[in-house]
Amino acid sequence: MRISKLVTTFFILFMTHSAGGIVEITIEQGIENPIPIAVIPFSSAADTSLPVSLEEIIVSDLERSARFKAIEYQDLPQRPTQLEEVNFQDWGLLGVDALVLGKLVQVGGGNYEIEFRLINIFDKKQIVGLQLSAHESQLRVVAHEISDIIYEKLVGVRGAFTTQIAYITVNKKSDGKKNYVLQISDSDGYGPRVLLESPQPLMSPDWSPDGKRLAYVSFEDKSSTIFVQDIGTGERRRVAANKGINSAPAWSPDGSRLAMTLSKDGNAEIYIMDVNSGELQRITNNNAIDTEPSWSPDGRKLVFTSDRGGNPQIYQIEIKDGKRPERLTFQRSYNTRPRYSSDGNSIVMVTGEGGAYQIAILDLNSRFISVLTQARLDESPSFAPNDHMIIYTTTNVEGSMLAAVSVDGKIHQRFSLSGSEVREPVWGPFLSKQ
Amino acid sequence: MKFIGSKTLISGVLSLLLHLLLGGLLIFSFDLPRKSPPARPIEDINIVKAVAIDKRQVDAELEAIKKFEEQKREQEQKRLNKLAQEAKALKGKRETEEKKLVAIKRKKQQEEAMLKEEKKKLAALERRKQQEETRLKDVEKKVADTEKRQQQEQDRLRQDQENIAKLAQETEQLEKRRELENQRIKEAEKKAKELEAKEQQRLAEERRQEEAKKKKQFEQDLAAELAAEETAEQRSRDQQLINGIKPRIIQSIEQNFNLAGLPDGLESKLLIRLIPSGAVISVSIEQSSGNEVFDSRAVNATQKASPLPISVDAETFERLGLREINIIFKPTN
Repeated sequence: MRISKLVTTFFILFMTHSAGGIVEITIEQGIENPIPIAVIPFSSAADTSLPVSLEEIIVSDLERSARFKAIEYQDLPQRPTQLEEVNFQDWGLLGVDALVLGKLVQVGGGNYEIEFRLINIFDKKQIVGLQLSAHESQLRVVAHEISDIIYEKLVGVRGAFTTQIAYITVNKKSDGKKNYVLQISDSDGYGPRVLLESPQPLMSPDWSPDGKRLAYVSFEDKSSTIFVQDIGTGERRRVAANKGINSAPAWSPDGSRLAMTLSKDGNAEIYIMDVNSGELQRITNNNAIDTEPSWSPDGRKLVFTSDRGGNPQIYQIEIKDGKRPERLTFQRSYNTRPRYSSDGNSIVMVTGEGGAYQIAILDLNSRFISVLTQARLDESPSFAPNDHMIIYTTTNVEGSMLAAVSVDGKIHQRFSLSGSEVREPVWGPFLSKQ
Repeated sequence: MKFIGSKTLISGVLSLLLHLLLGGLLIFSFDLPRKSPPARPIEDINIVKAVAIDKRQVDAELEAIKKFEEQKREQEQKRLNKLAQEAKALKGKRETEEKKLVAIKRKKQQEEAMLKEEKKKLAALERRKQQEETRLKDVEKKVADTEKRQQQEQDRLRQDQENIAKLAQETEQLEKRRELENQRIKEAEKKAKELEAKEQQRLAEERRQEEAKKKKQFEQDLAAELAAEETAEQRSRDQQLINGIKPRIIQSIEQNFNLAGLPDGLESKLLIRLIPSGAVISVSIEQSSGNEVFDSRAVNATQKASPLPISVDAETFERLGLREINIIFKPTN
């Protein structure tokens, strides 16, 4: 039966070919470029009283994601506000894929009406449009929400622009003493809010999955102690103040437990603490240093750094079955600071050789490692909650500052936040369910 | 039980009765009917009447009066004696009554004591009764529990039996199904064999027909070959043209096909309509990749690449069939 099917297929193929059937062309490659986009200012140039420029925030978001390239304002051939006004030929010639139109109108009492449309230049149709009202104080959030929508429609993945980041800055006070500051800000660095200031070091901040608390390490008690602080109320409490090292807190995906490094039983080992009861579960037990735990999104595994093999490498352990941990990295002599992606498919890490440290991603399915950065001292990588970007610190002679790289390593961007030395940035979670 | 109250009542009544009696007696004693002496008005004594008094008469009268007086005294004495006797009797009665009262009191006390005893006994009995009742309840509960447990055991037994029966049924059904399957497989095999045989026959027929056709064709071909040589040349020229155009189209589309951020392994097929200048006049999605963004990037790539680098004249354009072409986007990594 199969034979006759093949024969029939061959007959049909032959017949169409000889009859001059439809020509078929297969495209097997493409390019990886930022999407060219134009964002038209949301208000007329004459209106200078507006407190916030929505288009500036949107352009900054889209370009920082490394996936878009926006046309400069002076190069805009026209400034349409409606679909009917768009001259598609001009935009097509400019090589733009999509156009963002918008209107921002003041309606009194500090309230504004916002209209936004995303237009496909080739379809000549509107992809999405929105109308909403907001108070002046919410205009930045509105801009980030618009960026999220544009990102989702043109890249196909939820945007992470309405999220927050936390980081530690170190500066010198007027008396020459160091000042450590734990801050959170919008994902674009705007609106930094100090959560804690201390003359003693602060380290390893980690966001709770509901975005309401931060765990971190403080040396205010003269030795390392893990604190949990409520971001809204500022209330803080010690959760681990054992003898020796208490560090590297990592919230479980359901927010009920903290993995951490404690050396109270001899040397640095990994434990899991129930946040409510304080009950500890020991995870590692050997003479090597085991630290920097990070949870898999299903809450069943931990990845961590251990030097049990002679030098620092990354291992993975199933929390419940207590078997020996599996070693994940074998190339180079230094692999540390592992962090799981939200989809559980990859781990970002710091990889080093010969004194140079770079950010790399390990694909857990193929076990293939790709190095994303090329500078000499890149550290503390953290995934955006949509896994599309990685924020980290890069250090050169000027000091350390924040940088971001797209997950395929093709586009990098640096952004300095406050002029002081920035450390250990950690990207917060999505703040609402979609 | 108000014993004390009744006691007081009885004593009170008795004492009242006694008082009444005594009182009454006293009262009545004054009212006891007695012979009243003949009344002699006092005034009559003052009347002086000289009358010759017979001494004897006077003595007799005096005697009579003395007797009368004696009688009276005797009566009085009797009466007094009677009273005294009665009083004594009453006293005696009263004493006996009092004795009785005392006795009654004592009896009452005794009875009270007995009652107390009885009460105590009753209380004790009550307690015992309650204890017995609670003990009974416990026993009853234990009985109920054991009965419940028994019932549960019986239920479990029943369940187990039901399960066993079910399992037996299921195994039966499975057996039946397996048999059916086997039968079906056998039938399918039979059918397959039959179809194969038919196929063989058909192929043989076809081959025979082919032979006949070929003969005919050979004769026709000889005649047509001369004419066909010209069109064959044309066709090979056409094929070369297509082989030259395709990579140019592919390149121009690839340069505009942006894969940034898209997942691997996607494929979509577009149908595009061209005009001889190479301009793309319509693009439609024949087969979606399932990813909206991927599809839209594929469409964009074709639109951006327009006009496609075809550069042939209108006649060749039609002959090559370039008016409608399919473009398959299947990026490999």
